[in-house]
Amino acid sequence: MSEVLLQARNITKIYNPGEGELKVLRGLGIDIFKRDSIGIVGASGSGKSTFLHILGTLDRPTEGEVYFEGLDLFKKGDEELAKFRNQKMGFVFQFHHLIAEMNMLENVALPARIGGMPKSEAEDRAMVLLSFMGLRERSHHFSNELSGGELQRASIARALVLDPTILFADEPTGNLDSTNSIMIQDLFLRLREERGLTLIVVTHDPGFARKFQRIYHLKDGQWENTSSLTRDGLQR
Amino acid sequence: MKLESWIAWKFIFNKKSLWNESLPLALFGLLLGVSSLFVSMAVMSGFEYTLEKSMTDVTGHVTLIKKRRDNEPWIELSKKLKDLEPELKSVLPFTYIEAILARQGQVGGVMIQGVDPVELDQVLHLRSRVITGAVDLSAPAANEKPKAMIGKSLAHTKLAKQFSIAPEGLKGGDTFKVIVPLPHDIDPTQFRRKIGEFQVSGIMDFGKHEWNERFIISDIKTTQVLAEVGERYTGLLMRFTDAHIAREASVRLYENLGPDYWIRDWREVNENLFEAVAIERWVIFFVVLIIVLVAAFNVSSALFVNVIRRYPDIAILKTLGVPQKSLLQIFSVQGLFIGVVGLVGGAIGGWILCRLFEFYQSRFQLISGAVYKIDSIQLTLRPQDLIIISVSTLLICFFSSLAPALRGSRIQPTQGLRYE
Repeated sequence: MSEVLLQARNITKIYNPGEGELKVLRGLGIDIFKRDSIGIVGASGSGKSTFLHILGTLDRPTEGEVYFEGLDLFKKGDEELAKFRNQKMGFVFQFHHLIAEMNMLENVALPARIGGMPKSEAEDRAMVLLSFMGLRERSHHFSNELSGGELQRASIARALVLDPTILFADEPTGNLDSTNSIMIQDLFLRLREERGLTLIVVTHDPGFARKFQRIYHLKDGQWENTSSLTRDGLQR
Repeated sequence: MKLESWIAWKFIFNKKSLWNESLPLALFGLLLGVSSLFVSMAVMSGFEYTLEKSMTDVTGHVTLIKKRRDNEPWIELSKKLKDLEPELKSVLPFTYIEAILARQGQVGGVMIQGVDPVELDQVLHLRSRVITGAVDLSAPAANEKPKAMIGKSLAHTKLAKQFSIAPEGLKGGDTFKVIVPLPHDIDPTQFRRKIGEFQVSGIMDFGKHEWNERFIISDIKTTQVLAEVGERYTGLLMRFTDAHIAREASVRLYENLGPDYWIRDWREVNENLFEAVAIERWVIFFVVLIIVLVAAFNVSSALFVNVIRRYPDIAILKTLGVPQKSLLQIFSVQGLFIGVVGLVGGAIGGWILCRLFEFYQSRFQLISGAVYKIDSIQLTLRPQDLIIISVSTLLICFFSSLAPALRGSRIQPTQGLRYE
């Protein structure tokens, strides 16, 4: 059994506490191991993106804790958390969120530069990743000159530039056609295999979810049931 | 470039921001405000500079007038002065007489200053003030009259026309007559009239309006003969190494020489005017600065629009690990960038407006000499004006960016990610 990388305990998220409050997450817990691949599925509004944001420290829970290698993340200040995210976590969203005024090379190198890496070194790393993604020729292009699939691959390259331990993806194929969607799905699994990444992916797509080791179903802020996946298929 | 500055530059100076938002309008407003600041400061400093230059060109830095009517040789007095003030460069003895132009019931007063032609250029800077003719007080030929340089307005007064041989006004080579009233030898209630005749060697722009209307400069010997004062002279004009030490030097000279001499520096003659200009400079600066302040509100709202449009970008920057402090820097540096662009643009705009002012000033009478003492201004910008304008513009722009910067830095990543 590999060791626990990320643990969430009793995560509750309430918007507008008090009168008219909206309880999005109701005491969720999860243990994520190194090299795990986890799919979180559920209907719209079930709280899966909110849960992912909390696991990724992009949002603080109303109650509960998230531990990374035994360390309580939300005991850190915002600045420390920002640095932690920069060094340990990678993020991919449904929309690519590449900065329109920067070219692909600058976008992909950005996390490394935020982390304090010199420009030339950051761009060298970015170029290696762009080549890996098949985007070497597009490195000096801007986001309005690339297709949806290319943009999403560039955003994955950006998430990987600092060799994160864990990669969070929030519906990464939601905006793509089926061909690009399958290409991105395969890319995620290849990354896990080749780079030893821990993957946590929120998706609507059951086909994509089936490719992960474990699937978590979220309904009204609570786990509905948990599935484990083997190479043979889904186990219930 | 630091990462924060680089991101700030990318966020603010791009096609989208420059063409699709209110930023260009805000920048234009700022540019106009800064241009106005430059022009108003250039006019105020130019006024001061022009008046100072006119005073020091025509009367030197310090004027010493003897109260006693004795025959103290000026060479000895000048040696004494140079011993007291090592910074004193040269001295020029002068006599000063008042005379009248009068004809057919019309009377006009003129002032004739007789100066030593040999020392003239050491103390007075008249060559740059010649309109026609030359600075020439050399001894006249046998059939000529003593030479004199006269103010440009005097050359064209009705009286000057009547007193000259040229009805269209005086020009180089023309002669004119003046009446000098002298005390009667016996009866103190009477005075004698003496006629002096001069030949115009140069028409001058003395700078000050009243000098242009009334001033005549001739050689000291001629005026001494005309005023019947023998070898006596009215006083000395002095030039120091720097005009701005004249005040202290004149005070020291007064303390050392005692009450037999009346000593005043170039600034003292127009003390009230110079003080008024100094106060007006600040008043005008603050009034015009309000334009920059209003423009800064526009800058602030343009930056707010930029921040709101940037929600997803801010969110992703935070996601990637940019701390709140750096985001605050990114958006406040934008204010500074806008300030610098506004400042440089405003300086160029101000320079163009100043050149236009000078162009029109040389063709039309924009300034009334009777009111402002001088009728044209050589626009000047002092280094301290430049520093004050730059610092105040940049500070205002920086503070105007703080509110949008705070707004931008406080956005939660999830807030921005939800927008797409």
